[in-house]
Amino acid sequence: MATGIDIMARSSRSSFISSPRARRGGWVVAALLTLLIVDALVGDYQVQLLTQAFIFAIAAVSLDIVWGYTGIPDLGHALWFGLGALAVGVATTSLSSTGLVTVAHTTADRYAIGLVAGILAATLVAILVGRFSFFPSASTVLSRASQFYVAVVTLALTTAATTLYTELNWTGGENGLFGFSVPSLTDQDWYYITGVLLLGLIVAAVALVRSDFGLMMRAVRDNERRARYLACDVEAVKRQVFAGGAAVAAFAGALYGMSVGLVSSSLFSFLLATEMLVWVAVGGRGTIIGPVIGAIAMSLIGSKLSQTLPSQWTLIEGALFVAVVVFIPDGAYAHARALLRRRWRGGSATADHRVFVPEAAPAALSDAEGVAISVRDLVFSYGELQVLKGVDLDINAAELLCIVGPNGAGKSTLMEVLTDGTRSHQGEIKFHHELATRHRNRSPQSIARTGVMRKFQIPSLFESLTVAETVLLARAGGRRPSLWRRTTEVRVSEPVYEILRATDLIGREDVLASELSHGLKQGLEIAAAVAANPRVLILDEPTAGLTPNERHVIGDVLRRLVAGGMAVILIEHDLDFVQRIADRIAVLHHGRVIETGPPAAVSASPVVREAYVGAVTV
Amino acid sequence: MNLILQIVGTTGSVMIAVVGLAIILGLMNVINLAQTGLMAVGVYGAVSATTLHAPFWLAVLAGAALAGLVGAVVERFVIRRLYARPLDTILATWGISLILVEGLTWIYGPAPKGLNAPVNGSVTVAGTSYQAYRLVIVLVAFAIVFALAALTRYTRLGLRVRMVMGNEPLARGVGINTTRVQQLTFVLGSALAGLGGALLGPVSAIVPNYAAAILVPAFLAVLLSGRTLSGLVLACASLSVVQVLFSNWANATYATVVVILVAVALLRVRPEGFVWRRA
Repeated sequence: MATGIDIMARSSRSSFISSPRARRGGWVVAALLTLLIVDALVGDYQVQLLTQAFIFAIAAVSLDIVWGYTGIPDLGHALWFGLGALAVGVATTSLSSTGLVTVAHTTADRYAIGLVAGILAATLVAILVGRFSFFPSASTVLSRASQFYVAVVTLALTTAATTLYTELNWTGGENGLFGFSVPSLTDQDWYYITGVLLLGLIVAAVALVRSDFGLMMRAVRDNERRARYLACDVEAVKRQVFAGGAAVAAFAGALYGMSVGLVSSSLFSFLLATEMLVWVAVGGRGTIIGPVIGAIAMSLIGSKLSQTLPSQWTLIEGALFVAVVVFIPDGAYAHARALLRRRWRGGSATADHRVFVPEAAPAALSDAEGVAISVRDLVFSYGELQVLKGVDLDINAAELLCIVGPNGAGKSTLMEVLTDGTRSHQGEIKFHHELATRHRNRSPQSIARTGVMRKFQIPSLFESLTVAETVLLARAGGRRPSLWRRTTEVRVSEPVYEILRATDLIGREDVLASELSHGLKQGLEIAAAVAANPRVLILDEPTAGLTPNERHVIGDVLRRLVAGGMAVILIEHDLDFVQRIADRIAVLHHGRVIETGPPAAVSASPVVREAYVGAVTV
Repeated sequence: MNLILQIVGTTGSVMIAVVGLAIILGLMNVINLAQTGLMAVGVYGAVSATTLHAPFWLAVLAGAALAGLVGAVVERFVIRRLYARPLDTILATWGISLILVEGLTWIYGPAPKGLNAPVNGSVTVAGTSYQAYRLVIVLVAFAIVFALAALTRYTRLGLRVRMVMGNEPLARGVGINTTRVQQLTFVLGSALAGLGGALLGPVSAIVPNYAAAILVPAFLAVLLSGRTLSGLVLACASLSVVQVLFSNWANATYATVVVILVAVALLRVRPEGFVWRRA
């Protein structure tokens, strides 16, 4: 009922407010008009400053996509900018005998070569740096180190480049190269060229971050580990975004070179890189407009103030930066927007919403017979503590296997080792489905992609993704989604829809996962894992925090999935629930499987009684 | 022999420059890019103290105290709010560094200053003469590292610091004033940065931005240290070997670039640096 009314309310609202697409078109027209009006109002010098500000804004947007949206701490973004400018400089100048730079060639093709070479060089270096810097790692300590590693590499590279620049001859050394601005273009031409390019970039960037790929970027930023277990190729996403960001920044640098006609080591420097970070942080990382405003406003104010009070300006800039980072980490724009929203509309509002559309359950698996995963003599330790001491277990297709055992028996650890082949272990784990046989050294995303999905014991979701977005991401199963298309109708199979309905998530499509209660998070975790349509579904304590009715529905859905050929592994403490739905129970105790068999047989087993009762009566 | 002396000397200078950074990273998990700003505060503090006719060592201590004071303010108003956001700490401390350097430029002007060494002349070691003050730096550097090792290992304060580092909520739970411990650690790290800055004063041209060139190599040395003091000595020594040998072979600028690249590559292979803990 509630949803019906809601839909009506939404449609009536959208009938008198224009569609989002038209609204965005309106913004673009307004921006173009502003360009014209500002040009009429200000003098030549201001036009020059604005051109520079636009170029910086382009660089800021590229950094924002890399850092703000994908969470890659690129501390040396100036490197790409500098490469773009340097390539134009080198292509269009040559050194005279006295060592000073003279303009040697000013033909259009030289500029074109410089532009293309700069972008290519930056992209190429960024691809190499990305290959080198983004690597998955098993332990959490290392994964923190590896997340951080790219910050070290970019910081080191920008420093190395600045140092090297002054030593080299062909870069113009300490003086740099100068006097190579495009002679046929006036300041006003550049103002319009850069203004329109910036606008085009904004439109493209907005489309990107709203697209399904943008969703994946945010997922990687919010919770890299969880994204891996949803088969998302975290490293590939990072590499692509990093290289793309470098290319755009190099483009901005080339524009700078062509319009200002100057390149020196300062364009590569950590100082400029930090300034870019400041623009993005002050404007608002994770928004597109924020960094644009930040870059334009701060570079305009900066060039004004740096003439009158040069040293104070840097001081003010530094203080402002620190204050923003400490007090409004979302940046000024996002902060202001949130304030306005609260005042005018009450509550958070997402621009446009997504809905779930149920579709028929996928066809039953054709090869749904026999063993799906076999585990032989599996031994695993955390440091000195041996948790698994020789586990033997077969996980069969079309079977619901429950793993029970006292706390500390090694249940979750067993699942961890199963879904992450890079954890060093002894013994053998073998996948028997046709997509994969090897397990050892296989990353979580690679294992997930072969159709092994896992719901974590403690819900671990993406804080900036809504319910529908989370399911959409899981459904993608790691395939690279479209860079510009935005899926608003999230198709989910009938079992998934039923889980969503039973756990009360229908009607909450646009609620952020971070704002859900524990029970709702559990429901979403289960729905996301099932939505990927895995061959092997691992659910670690799925029913904790759910009501009896919700458990009942989920039990039924799981039975149906198993009937369709899925192998389901359930770790559960609710033994009544287990008795009701399990085909087979495996009892894990002190790192060994002490008993397996049908529910009735296992609960009657004396070994199990001893393990359980012994644990209870101490 | 000359090479070895150079390596030892460079190691000493690097160590003295990075030990504050290492303390703050190792014990607080905070990457303090304000290190170079604090070093500058230390050296200018020492310069000011000598203009008031303070003897060298007193001036150095004054510089360290000043940097410690600045560190206390920074910790109170910035760092304390950012423990949960490591990347933001990097950005904020860099901002602070900018503020410190610009502030010093404002007060002292951009022209280089000088600081006289307490010992002049050179000593002859195994047939090679060597600037005496550089040997002093090496000795002080090792003294500081040993003192810190003893402090963290054998004193009650050191125990608390290690508890807070290992598990901050648990340490708070058993009644340790973790805020106070972290504050002390940061102040100590800042004071050591100031001390390092002041001690390096006599062998450098003192400008507000004077330690900027060593920021990245220092930072890399600390990451390579694996957050142990023995690792720190090893990291500083090995990077100094690269620096000195390469400077002799090509020139100092290329050597800096090579040091950076070598350190980055080492970190890729050993993300946890030189540690001999069991895997």
